[in-house]
Amino acid sequence: MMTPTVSTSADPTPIELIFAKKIRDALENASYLSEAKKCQGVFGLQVKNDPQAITVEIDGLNINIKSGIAKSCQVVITTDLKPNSKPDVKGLLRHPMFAMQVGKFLDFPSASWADALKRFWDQHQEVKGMPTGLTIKCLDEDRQLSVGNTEDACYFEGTAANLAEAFTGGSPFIQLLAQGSLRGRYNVQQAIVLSDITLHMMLGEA
Amino acid sequence: MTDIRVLNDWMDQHHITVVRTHATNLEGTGVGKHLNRKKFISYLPKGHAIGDVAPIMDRTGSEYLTIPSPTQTANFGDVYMRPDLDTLIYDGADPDLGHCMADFTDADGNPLVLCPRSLLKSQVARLAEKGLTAKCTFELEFFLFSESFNDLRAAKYQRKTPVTAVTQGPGIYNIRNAYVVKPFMKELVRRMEWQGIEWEGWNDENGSGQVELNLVPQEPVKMADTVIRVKQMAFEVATDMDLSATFMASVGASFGSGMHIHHSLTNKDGESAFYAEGGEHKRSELMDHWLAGILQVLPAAVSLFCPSINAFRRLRDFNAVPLTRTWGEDNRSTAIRVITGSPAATRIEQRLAASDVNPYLALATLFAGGLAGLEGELKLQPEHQGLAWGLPPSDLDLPTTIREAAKITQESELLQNAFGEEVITYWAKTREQEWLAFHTEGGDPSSREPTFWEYQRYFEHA
Repeated sequence: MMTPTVSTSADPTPIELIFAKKIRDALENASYLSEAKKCQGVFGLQVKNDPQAITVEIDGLNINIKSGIAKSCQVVITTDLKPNSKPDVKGLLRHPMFAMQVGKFLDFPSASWADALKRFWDQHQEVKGMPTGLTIKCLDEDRQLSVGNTEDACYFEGTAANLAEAFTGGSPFIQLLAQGSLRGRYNVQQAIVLSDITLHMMLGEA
Repeated sequence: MTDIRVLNDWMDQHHITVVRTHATNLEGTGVGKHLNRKKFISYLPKGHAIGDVAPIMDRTGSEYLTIPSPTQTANFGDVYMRPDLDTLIYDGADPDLGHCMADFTDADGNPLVLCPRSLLKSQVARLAEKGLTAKCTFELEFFLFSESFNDLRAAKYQRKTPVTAVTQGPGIYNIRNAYVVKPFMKELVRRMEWQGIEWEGWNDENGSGQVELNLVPQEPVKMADTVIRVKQMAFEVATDMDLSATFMASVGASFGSGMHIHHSLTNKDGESAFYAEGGEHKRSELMDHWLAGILQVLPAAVSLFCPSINAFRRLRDFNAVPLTRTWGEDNRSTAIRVITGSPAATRIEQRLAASDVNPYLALATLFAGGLAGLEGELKLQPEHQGLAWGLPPSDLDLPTTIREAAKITQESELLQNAFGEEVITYWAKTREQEWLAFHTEGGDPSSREPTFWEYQRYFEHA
């Protein structure tokens, strides 16, 4: 099955890059890909209390993301980007089918934290300043995994969802630590290196 | 003034009981401590400890926690601020207070690679190895408003009243506007003189409430120290007079504030190294190589000359800001204006830098470019003829967004060789972070006017 191409504007804003990265990751999932190909139209995504906004044009094979809310948007979704918050949807009555497709399109499949950790380690273990190893405990699965040197590894724990978010580059590492989504034993230099990598993953650059 | 007895005598003579240490971090923000005189002396020569975040904070005082820093300790430990006793002066306005500039060092006294003052010193040393010394000066532009900082902050910076009349178009050198500004400027230059800072003149500038202050040329590190001191002093005078003065690069949609930088070189015999008899413009071969080097580094220097997202708002055609890698004899629309004619007057004026530029980094960058030009005997590109605004797109165009500029800086071998790869990588990442913060913390890219996020970040901190 052909995977749609995802493009952003020539001078993309962070939200364009972050969204493009989320879609590219999600398209690796076969059932998401099949749903995404059914989605055809233009929708806007706007952040509540913040000027960040994007327009997404989808025609099944091409997904084009640009900054701002275009006049051509059939559906505009306003969200505060917090988990479990209820978004406002404009255009639902005029384009109910498309709104439903958009709902599915934005329901990104969740990644396995263990797979994400292994991929993260494989790709970034050689980065300067990277901890020699990582020991990760998933609290809701009561399961622990280590990568690299286990003797002086940094230790982090969190829920499966938060660990997956960390190791897929859903949020910068330090942000998850600061908001208490992750806890661990580490030093500042290590946290900063992990944050640098995850920030660039978030922007689709690493 | 390295002898403690002499130092104590000097402090007695000037009634100094407190010393404010003052270092400048990469962002250009002044950091330091007010120290009891005895404590200040007891710390010499090493200086006092300060948290390792001090050299690497952003404009808001937050540490960049997503950027690996070559000076970061493992667990928020200490670095040091080593006072440069040659810069110790008395405040004048505050009779008990002395000020001393400082360099960031590690526990062993080695300069931190991210210390901008030390970066400039290393470029000055490279010049000295070639038997050259530089003299520089800066033109300081800033805006003055009738409200106090507190009042503007409370009003979210929305109701700013420029101290001078609102002009409909370019209005500069206006004597009536200057009269309105005079009480502030009189106090500012009075305090500068108390601190031994020499000035040449000041005038009303293009924007409403905008002033330009010209300083007497000095050797580079001293000149950059002076810029930092005068900016601090402008803030203090404004605070004391219930006004607000800002070096924010763009306070509105119209004219922004720049910081034009003039410099010249002198050889071992004390003669102008830029001047040569004969030829149409009396420029030396050395000057042409030096200029070629500056022009070569210019695209990579944009993120250093325009360090904030707000500074990039200035980069528009016909806004008195250069947009191309061009030079010209007495041409104010090119990035580099060359002034020639006599040995004393022959100099280079860089016209791109914004008022929120870090003066140490700006000079270090100019010198790094010039030195590369000398060492590579680079050939000077043709002089730009005519106005350099409104030109068709070309490969001479400079980057106009901070992210694009940061990428070019990151890739610059010239700057990596001059400052070190880790410094340039760190700097480029901080500029990318500036872009990210603007977009994700409330800045509005579609707004023609600076956004509240920018006022909060720069108005009092630039």
